Amino acid sequence: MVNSYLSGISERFSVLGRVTLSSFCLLCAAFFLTAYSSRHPEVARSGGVLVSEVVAPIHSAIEIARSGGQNLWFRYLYLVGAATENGSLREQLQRTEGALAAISEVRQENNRLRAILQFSSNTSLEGVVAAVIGEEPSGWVRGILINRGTSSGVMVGMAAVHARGVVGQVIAAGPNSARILLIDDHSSGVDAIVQESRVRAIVAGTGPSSCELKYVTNESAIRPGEIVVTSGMDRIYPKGLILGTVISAHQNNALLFQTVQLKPAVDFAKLEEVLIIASDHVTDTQSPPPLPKLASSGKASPVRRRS
Amino acid sequence: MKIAILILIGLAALMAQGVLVQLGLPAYATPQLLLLVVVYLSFSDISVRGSLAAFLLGVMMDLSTAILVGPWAGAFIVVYGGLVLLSQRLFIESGIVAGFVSFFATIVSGAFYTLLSQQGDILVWSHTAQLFGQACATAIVAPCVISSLSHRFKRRSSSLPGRMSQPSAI
Repeated sequence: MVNSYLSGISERFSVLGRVTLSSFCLLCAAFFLTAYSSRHPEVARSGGVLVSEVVAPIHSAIEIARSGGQNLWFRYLYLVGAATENGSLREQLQRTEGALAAISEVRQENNRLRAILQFSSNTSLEGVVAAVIGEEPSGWVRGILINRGTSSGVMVGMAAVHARGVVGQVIAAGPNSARILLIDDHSSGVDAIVQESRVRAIVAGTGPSSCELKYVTNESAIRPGEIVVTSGMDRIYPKGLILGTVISAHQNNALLFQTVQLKPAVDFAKLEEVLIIASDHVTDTQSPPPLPKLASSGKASPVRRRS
Repeated sequence: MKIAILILIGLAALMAQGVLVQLGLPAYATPQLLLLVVVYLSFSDISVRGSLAAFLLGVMMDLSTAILVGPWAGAFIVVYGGLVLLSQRLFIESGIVAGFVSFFATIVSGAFYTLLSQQGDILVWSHTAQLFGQACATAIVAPCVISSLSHRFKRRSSSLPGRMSQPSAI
């Protein structure tokens, strides 16, 4: 028994000795290899190439899988959230743009109303501000529809003006709306006076944004660019309101009167608000002369010139 | 035959290390899987064949760096030889022991490699920090790896000197 125990220990030590010896030899080999490869780096390089060739396909496959996974994440899964966020941001942007547009619209409206009020204040005229809600649908008559009627004191025969100048005349008034005949309508006529030369004439409409100064004698000296204002003699429009600017004046010896073209001061295509002012002559007639087919108006309310 | 299998396992371990780095794991957190094979060898195969396998694994590691052939081989041999001397007194199948052994094996092998590859220069701080991080990472994965290797070679354990599965040896 003692012999077998001793033989076991001996065998174990012999195994350890062999392993130790072999390890020592291999360690020496490692030192030698290190020294040799440091002097001959091509050995390590060629061996590295060999290992690289073995592992490269696997690394490539893993890289492809990794990049694919990354693409899947960043281009799809991550973008699912991004798309949702994008959608909500778009909605928010649309809401903000809508609000901005509304604010801009309110600001512009405010500016226009301020201008009208300023005009009213400057001219000492009181009246009703009305919004343009439509145009004459037939196309044969130059007219607009406003959102104020007899309930607001708008009566037939009242003048419609704007901060830039004269718009027209109320030709029909309902309780909550009224029709205005623009000064560029063929049936419109306004007693006017040329501001500089003081020539008196009648401004008649000749079509969209075009008027004519009628009954100007050939002796009258009228130059293009002169301002034409209301004379106040027709008792519809107060005196001194701008009607337009002379764009051409042609004398014709064969005729009694010269041909004077006028550009209205107000751009009717962009008209959004008007000021309805009472004239000295407020008519109670049921059928106004220019457009007899339109609805009749109610009784005039006391809208008067400020003292 | 076993050496060939171990070399293949070592190659797989080497590739696994490369994959971990490729996936973005920093170098200081990459476990030394190849060294764990050597640790396993030092407890399961105490023989000339085992030492030769450890040497070849080291050479493989050297070749993967393609700078010098020998430093890692020497480091692995040192680890293998040292652990062989301690293998009668340690129970490697315990996870904690495996972790501690792997931790110190990584420190020793890393220090030896740095010493040999830097030709005697002292360890710089970056090497030390990396070495410590790698040792921790290796210690963390060591129980799993060594347990897997033990399971893989369980049927062949009868041919081994029998250092593993001997709790009384602690």
